[in-house]
Amino acid sequence: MKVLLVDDEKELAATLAERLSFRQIDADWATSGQEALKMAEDARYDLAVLDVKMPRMSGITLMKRLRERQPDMKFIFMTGHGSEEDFKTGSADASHYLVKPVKLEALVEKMKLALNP
Amino acid sequence: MEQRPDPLAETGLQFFGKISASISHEINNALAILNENAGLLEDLCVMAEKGKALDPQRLQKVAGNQLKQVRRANDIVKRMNRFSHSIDEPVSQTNIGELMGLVLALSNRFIANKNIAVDYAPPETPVLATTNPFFLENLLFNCLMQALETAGPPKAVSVAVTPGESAPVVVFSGLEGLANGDEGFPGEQEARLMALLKIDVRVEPARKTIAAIFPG
Repeated sequence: MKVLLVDDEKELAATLAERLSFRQIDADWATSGQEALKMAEDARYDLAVLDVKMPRMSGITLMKRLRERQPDMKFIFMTGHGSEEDFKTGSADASHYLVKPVKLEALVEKMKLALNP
Repeated sequence: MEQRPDPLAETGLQFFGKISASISHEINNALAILNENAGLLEDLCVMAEKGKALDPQRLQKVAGNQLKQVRRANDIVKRMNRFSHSIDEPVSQTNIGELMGLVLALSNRFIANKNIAVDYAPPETPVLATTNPFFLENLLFNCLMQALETAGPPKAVSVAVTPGESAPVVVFSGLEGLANGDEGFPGEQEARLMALLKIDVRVEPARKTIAAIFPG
């Protein structure tokens, strides 16, 4: 499983990636949509875990642009509060939705479900 | 019987809600990072139990990250506290430079979301006015949001607080996108705040500025 984590909070993305690596999940991380798109040019990802609200490019927009490049990629969203607006704008196209702080085991479970529904 | 809330109170409540929501989001981000760092420590302990040596430098780094987030959350809470107490007194002698600094700090997420650089150097000597601090924060926040909407290129806004010739002035400049009759700004909310505070908000497309001029 090759995963791309995108969150504008660098320490969150980096620590999540490290913890996933302990569970034999290969995770790259980026702190912006632009950086993530660049990474998706050089590598193929099975799954992207995206923060909904990021400066410059939202998680929703990033999902659409990643999907143009890699149509088979699955998506999981992370959000700060899980507001009704977030769910309406994101849940329709995303495999799963998690509210921060995220429980890692729940995230791993959602990843497996997203790839093997 | 339908009761409409007082429009000024409604304006203030909307502002308070917007700032509170933004602050709760910032605190949540700090908590999310603390959560991951705690989880990382658990993972390292589990690996140590299985025989992998614990690296003291790795632990120091995690502790450093946690302290950084605690300090961050503490700063956010202090700002929230100052903001909440600005409602305490309807009128007080207010340091406009400090208040503008607080409004900018409270607006961090809004500024970051627009990806705009905001340059602000507080005045060297205090610029004071007797005013309602909470509604002044509201008006200056609204001016800042309009400035962010009309900034650049380049995506940069300068904010200055000066004593002015006869009364304090807060100027937002670098608003290259400002046009005559710009989308109803100042609008109804700002008009209410301007009337209460007796502050004139002037949109000046030729100078590419929005200026809040205090009563003389």
